[in-house]
Amino acid sequence: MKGYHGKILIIDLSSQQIIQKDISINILKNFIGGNGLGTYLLYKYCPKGVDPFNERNPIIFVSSPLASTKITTSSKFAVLTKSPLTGFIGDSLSSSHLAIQLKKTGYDALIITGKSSYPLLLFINNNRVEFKNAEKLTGLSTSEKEKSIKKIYGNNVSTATIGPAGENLVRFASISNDGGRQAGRSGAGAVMGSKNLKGIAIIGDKEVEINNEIELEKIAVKLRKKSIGDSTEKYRNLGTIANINIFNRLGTLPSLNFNQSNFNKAENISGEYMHDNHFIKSAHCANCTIGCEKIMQTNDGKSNIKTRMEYESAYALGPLVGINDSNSVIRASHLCDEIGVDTISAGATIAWAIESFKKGLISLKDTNQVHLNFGDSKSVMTCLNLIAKRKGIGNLLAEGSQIASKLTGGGSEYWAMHVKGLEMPGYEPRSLKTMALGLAVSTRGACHNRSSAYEADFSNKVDRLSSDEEKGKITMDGEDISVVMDSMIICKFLRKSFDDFLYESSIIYKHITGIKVSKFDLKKSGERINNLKKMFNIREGWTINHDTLPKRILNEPIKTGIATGVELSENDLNKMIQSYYKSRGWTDSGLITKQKLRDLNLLEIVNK
Amino acid sequence: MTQDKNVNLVKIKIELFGTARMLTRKKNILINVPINTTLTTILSETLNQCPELSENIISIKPIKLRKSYTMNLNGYSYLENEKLKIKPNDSILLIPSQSGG
Repeated sequence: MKGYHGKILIIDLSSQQIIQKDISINILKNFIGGNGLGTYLLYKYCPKGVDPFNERNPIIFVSSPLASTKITTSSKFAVLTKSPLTGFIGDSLSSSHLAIQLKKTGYDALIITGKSSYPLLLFINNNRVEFKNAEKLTGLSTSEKEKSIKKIYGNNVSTATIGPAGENLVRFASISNDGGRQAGRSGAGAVMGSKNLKGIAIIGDKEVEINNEIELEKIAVKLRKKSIGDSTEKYRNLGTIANINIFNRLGTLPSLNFNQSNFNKAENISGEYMHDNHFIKSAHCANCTIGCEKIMQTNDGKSNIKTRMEYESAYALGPLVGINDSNSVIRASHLCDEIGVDTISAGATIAWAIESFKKGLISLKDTNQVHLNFGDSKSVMTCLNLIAKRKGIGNLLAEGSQIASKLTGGGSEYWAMHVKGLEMPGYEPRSLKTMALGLAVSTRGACHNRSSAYEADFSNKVDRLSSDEEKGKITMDGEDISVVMDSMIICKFLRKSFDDFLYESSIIYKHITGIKVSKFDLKKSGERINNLKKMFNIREGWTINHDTLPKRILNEPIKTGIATGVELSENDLNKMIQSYYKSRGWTDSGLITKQKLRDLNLLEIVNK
Repeated sequence: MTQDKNVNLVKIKIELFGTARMLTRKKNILINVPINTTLTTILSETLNQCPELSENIISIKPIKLRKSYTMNLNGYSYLENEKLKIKPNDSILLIPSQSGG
């Protein structure tokens, strides 16, 4: 077997037993790797109906055929589990040296199940697994844990750690690796915490055989050259935080818990401003030639904080909670990374809390006498610290906006800005209608990355303000191509460096694995993976009512910015959703027919 | 810009974002162009006021926008055709063509 190891490792933390299993070339070909292979493994190893915090819910770290090759931006891995935030499929990607070490363990995936009876650090060295007492790591931040683990095993190991938030089962806790990179969305850090697993150290030296090194190198050289060209200019220079001023101008920057679709003081936290006042250097993941990470430093004379700043964190900890002070945004983003929470869910849940406080549903007693106000950095920092410890109001907010609003009642579900429990990213759906559909139907909840549907909206391909039915196929195609990227795995910031992504990927795949696939085969794999994700959700209780958007979005027109007055009614959204189901070949209720499962070679898998 | 005296010129705004703003240190500029104009004319007028964009954002020979950038009219449609009609006070946004993040 080339490009893959053909093996997975199952680690049971309860019994401390490890089992090695073969995985067939057919499964690898059909699900590629990364997110796709992880979806297959989650479907197989996650018992139906299990609570996400039950020890039988597995957490799966998945490598990919491209990891550890010379293809730029390919040092990525996927983490899958049943999400404690949504109760549906949870998948996240992260990057850098951990992806390389994971690949070199000699396994295509690590499945961690069970629960340790004591605080645990897993050390995985090729096929050797050590269960080490991690009592001393308990309570440390993500970066402190990483440093401590490297003191034990040396700087060559790569680590995956959780912070206090993961330990305290904050439902949007992240997993941190390689100095602050995050598998952020869906709450995988909380699942790690539920297993009493504080961290994982990984090192390996098992190389896979590459089918055609010479031809692969030719493509790698070409892609490296393209990756420092026009197709990545924004990512390389200002980074994704350049979106702040642009989205603000286009009326697509949500602020004040989606009460507004632009932000008066956006300039103060913009990429241009940050670059002039806080920028230190660009950084990049292992084996990446783009370098999208922009390291920013505070300059307000208080404690010196340095952190990566990117668009989604700046949106969620800035405009969404009304903060226009760049130092405060940097501090909040850094704190999220240290306590180990997803910045988007954290910001959106705090925005919900601020609005609930203003409406009298949360009291001063709940907040330890701290007034929660939009634009007040103290509100945000107080909430973040309480969330990490699940103290006071933090215990409620640690549940995420969906559960917190249900527990609070008083109509607060109306302004809980999530889909299926996952909080909304920084794309205003009322003025980005393809994105609106992508957010509504995404299997992991309000996610901008799994469909990249915004791309059509930011082009002449569609009228972004119109709810027409052509958006169904566009969203489906976007999802299927995106999941191929997330399975190969290659960074989405490289996507415009390809002339024909599916075709060029099929060539790369052949040179790595020796398996000949066409671009149509890859597209079919994308469709297969997304259908299996949907089948997982159906198995876990999905109904058509879950494919929707927050009530505020469906009941209020945009009030500010250039798209003022633009609406998205429930009826219009449902028409787009039906067009998406039709494109997918699903029933009007969004269910998958047996014939469709048969066509995608999924029938046997879902019937087992 | 050399213009036939019979051609009506209108004033439009060019708004600069991202690297374009960093290079010029300007948020926007005003240019005068005919109502029936071309992308080349708009870019040429922009270059006259912002020579820093030369080659970085706007290629010179021939004058055209690099693939890293795109032009958006008033926040909605993206300018793709060489010939276009504009109105007084229109805004053209010079923004990166990579929309993700």
